[in-house]
Amino acid sequence: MKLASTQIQSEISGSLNDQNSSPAHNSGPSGMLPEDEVVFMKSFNDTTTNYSSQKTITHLFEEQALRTPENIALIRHERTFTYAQLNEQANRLARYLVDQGVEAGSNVGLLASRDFGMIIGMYAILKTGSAYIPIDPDYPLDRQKYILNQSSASHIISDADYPGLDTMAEVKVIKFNKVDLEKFDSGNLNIPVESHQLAYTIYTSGSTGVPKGVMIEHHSAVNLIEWVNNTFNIGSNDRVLFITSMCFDLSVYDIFGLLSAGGAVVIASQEEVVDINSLKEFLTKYRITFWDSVPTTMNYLVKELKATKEPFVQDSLRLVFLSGDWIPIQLPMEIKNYFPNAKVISLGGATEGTVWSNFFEVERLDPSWKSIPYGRPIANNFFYVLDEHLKPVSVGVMGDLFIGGVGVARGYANDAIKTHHSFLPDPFNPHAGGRMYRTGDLGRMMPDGNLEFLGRKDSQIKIRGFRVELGEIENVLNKSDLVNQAVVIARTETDGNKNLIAFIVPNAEKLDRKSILAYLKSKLPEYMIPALIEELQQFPLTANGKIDKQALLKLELTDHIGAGYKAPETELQLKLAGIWKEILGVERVGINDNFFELGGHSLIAVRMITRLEAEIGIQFPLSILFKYPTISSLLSSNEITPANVKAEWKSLVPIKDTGHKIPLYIIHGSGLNVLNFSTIATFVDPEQPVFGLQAKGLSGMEEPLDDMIEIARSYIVEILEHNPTGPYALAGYSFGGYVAVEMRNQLAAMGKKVNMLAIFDTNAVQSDHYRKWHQNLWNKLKNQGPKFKWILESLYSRPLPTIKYQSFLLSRAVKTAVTKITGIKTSESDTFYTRIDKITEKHLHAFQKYNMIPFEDKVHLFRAKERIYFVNDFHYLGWRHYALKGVKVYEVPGDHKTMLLHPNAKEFARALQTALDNCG
Amino acid sequence: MLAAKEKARASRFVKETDRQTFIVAKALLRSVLAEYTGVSSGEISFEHGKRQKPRLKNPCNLSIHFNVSHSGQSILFGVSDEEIGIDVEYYKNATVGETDIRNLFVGDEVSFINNQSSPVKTFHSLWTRKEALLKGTSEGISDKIRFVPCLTGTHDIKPGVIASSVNWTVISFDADEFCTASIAYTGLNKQLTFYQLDDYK
Repeated sequence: MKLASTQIQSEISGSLNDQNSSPAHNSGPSGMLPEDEVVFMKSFNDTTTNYSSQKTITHLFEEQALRTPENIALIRHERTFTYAQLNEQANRLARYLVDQGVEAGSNVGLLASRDFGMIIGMYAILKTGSAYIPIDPDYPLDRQKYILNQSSASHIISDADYPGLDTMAEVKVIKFNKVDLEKFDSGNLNIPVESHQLAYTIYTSGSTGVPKGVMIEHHSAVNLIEWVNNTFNIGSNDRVLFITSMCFDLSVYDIFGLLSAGGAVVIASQEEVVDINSLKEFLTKYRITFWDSVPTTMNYLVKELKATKEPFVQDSLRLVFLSGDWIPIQLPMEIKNYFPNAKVISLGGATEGTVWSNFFEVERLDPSWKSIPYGRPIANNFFYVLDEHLKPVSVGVMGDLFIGGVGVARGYANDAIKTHHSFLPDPFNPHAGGRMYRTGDLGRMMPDGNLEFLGRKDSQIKIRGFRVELGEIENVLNKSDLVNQAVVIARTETDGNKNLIAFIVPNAEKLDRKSILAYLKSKLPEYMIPALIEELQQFPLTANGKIDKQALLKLELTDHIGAGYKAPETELQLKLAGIWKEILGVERVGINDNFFELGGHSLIAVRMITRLEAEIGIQFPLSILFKYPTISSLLSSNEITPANVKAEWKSLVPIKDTGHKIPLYIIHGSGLNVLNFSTIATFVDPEQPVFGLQAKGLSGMEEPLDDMIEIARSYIVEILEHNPTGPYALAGYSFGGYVAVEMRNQLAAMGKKVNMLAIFDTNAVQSDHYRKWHQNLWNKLKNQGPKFKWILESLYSRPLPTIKYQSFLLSRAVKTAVTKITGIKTSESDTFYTRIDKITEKHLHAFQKYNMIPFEDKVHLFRAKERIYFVNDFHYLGWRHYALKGVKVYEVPGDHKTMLLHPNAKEFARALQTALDNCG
Repeated sequence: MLAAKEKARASRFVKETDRQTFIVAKALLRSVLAEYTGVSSGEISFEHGKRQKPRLKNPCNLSIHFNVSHSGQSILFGVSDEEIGIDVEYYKNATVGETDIRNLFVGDEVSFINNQSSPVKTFHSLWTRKEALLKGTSEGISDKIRFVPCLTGTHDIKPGVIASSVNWTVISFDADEFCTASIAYTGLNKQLTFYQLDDYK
């Protein structure tokens, strides 16, 4: 009866509106909090302050240069530049850029290494009225080009001849090291620049791996700078040690902040930045007063000072700003051992919120802290802790952190979809900025009026069903005397399970594993104990100085999960294990056993490939076992699929690929595959092509997607491949209706024409209710499977023949598909059903997260005549609220399921064709 | 003498003989390299070079390259001042089918193997030539190995077959009874010296 539960979900989606909307949900943003908490939150976010909202960061600097022309602005080793010199040089370069065609309002790439030229370049670009896009010359060329193209930069300016610069065909390259600037006038240009123009676009690495360009306007940076400079009295005597990459937004304050206050920027070169001894020397030599870095760098410095044991005291440092990562909890106190006059400030925020949005001064260490408090918002910034419906949660309750206020970025460069997802209207403070940014961080409000940071949403993972916050394990480890520093990572194994790996730099020469394990066991529940403990001499770092977790994941581990034997289960696994046993001459082969550890070597590996081809009909590359040395990794690798098999499992399936009319793309329902549309396709006009889109993950070769936006995007990619120009007709059945809407939105955002958006009997439910109700239902289902099945079956007394028919269809499809891939006949009890369950769960998750908003289009609703469950809006199934251009209803015979089948399919197809023809 | 990583890996071999061979090979490699570098065997450390080929972690920039292969009872080390590849195959109990030959060899190679009095030996010997060369160029096994020439003579290699722009010499020899091996080194006139463990002090 597996099938029944997957099918019935489509009906659940239609049956939710019997829960009437309760007024509490609609009573405004803070409707759910008690009055005293509303007041509490208001005072927490009472940060509105006057700032120079009309000024740009160039104004701030030019004014300062006028006030203190002879102050030192830049220092690098023995060289210095005064404010006057810096301003004049920037003015000359700006004039040259204007000569070269740089126009106000454009984006200009800046390729420069850590020296005066970098800062001159920034100011020069800003003075032309353009925004700078920092590009690290050490980035791979592909990434450099990606950033240039993605930001639609008009020019790139560079301070040296970098390799590859001449291959940047799309933009105009200006090498300013080659230019004699002396002939240009050094006075201010006074090109009018509005404070709402862009100052810079910084590309951050998204969790998906594609960098996103965060666009920041001048006034946002001005607000930040004025807040720091006023709050901490930054002035002419201050000197910052500039050690951050310009591609990381801490650099924004270091440069523009200090240079708006009369202080000096001491520039460390790329080599010096990673050399703790140089940093130590600079701190003393230049009497640095201001330190600004990720916690890791300071932590290394302090550990180094501790290890050398020579007395070190530097008493000029008065401010230590730490941000961008977890702060080791003892670090603030350790800093004061060596820098007795330093105030340690913990800051948080996001590039999308202009460097920092909140701060906390660490004066003492409270033993009850799990982490350093996140503190309070800075001037004109707001913090919200919201639940999944964007409603505030109570004090002490964990929620998603949102940043509001004037620091919120304009959005992501040339990416309306991602912008739309992360930047939302701010209903709490609609007038200061008016938008809020979804940080992806988790936190909660503490009763003392400080925020507590609880980690990245994506670093919260589930281990055997338990929610685990990696930072919590790290903190426990870091408190141990045995540990200098620890990082915990969850590694997804080839079987989909996750294992925790602790990477530890020990305090002693060698890590005492037994003691550390005993220590962990005394502090943490069993499921939080890392499965592997890996000893390191030091952590790999990213260009920004953060610990490079990707690099950690790639390390070859010495520790090994011992009890790794897992018997082969599926037919394919059994087959492979049999061949391995025979060729390797071993008695037992588990799916996690390593080919080479079983005695395999290169020639055997190569001959194995021959055998595999002969016996299961898949031709692998000869090198495959070197890359995937276990049966499970081999079978779950994408690369093993020969191109032809892969093609069979695209989402896009031609149901009827002939005809010259505008093709119709139908998106699957909860049954997940598209075979139930084949009957309709036989009755449409001979000239009407019909394509189906089926779920990713059905082949078992790829992970199912759990994000509506991603699901829609992946389908669009395939559609564009096959039909790049359009126009398109889209239809969604059941769950597919929501996907179709999201696809329509994305296509529209790309400027593509969608002629028709058809919905096949999907009930557009108010997502709030749907989610709550549905989530409960789902939890119930998981917890009490058998009972729930009984409820479902009795609740929806479906005509048995239909279920049988569908089940026949599906199992037949499965068998053909699996046979195609593997050449093996499968039995009905294939793991395929587990796969379908997994996809269904992912899609439910996608639906729960998705927030459907009204769109500028018409919906063609194909509504089943027979309705065996109650819906709120019987006529429009709720679509009138979303389809701003109206809903056209076509009533079709049958119910939600049978409307697509004989004998109803004929009439359905006729109505569909009429609708399609009228939209053409 | 072995590093923690090496010990950990040794512990994971299923067959005792594999484990012993692995340990002996690693220990001997350290001793051999100690001779060339002057660093004590326990201090020698390794890293991955181009395409994961193991190489000496070499702070003094000594020009020492090595490559290791073992099969059956034999362990071979090649050491050179330039890139080097070595491969050995023990073929006593091996069988070779027509499919194997056709999958791994092309053109005249196939008939050459089939026309030998001992095709099994020839198959393995020619294979070691191919593999030694691809180990030398740091490429390792890939689908291209079919097209790596291996018959005796001088070959102009078509572009794209090996990732190297210099000349290579590949020499085959019997390492032991039922054990054939090849060594690949850059240049055409290099002096080769063979040592057996007994000679090696």
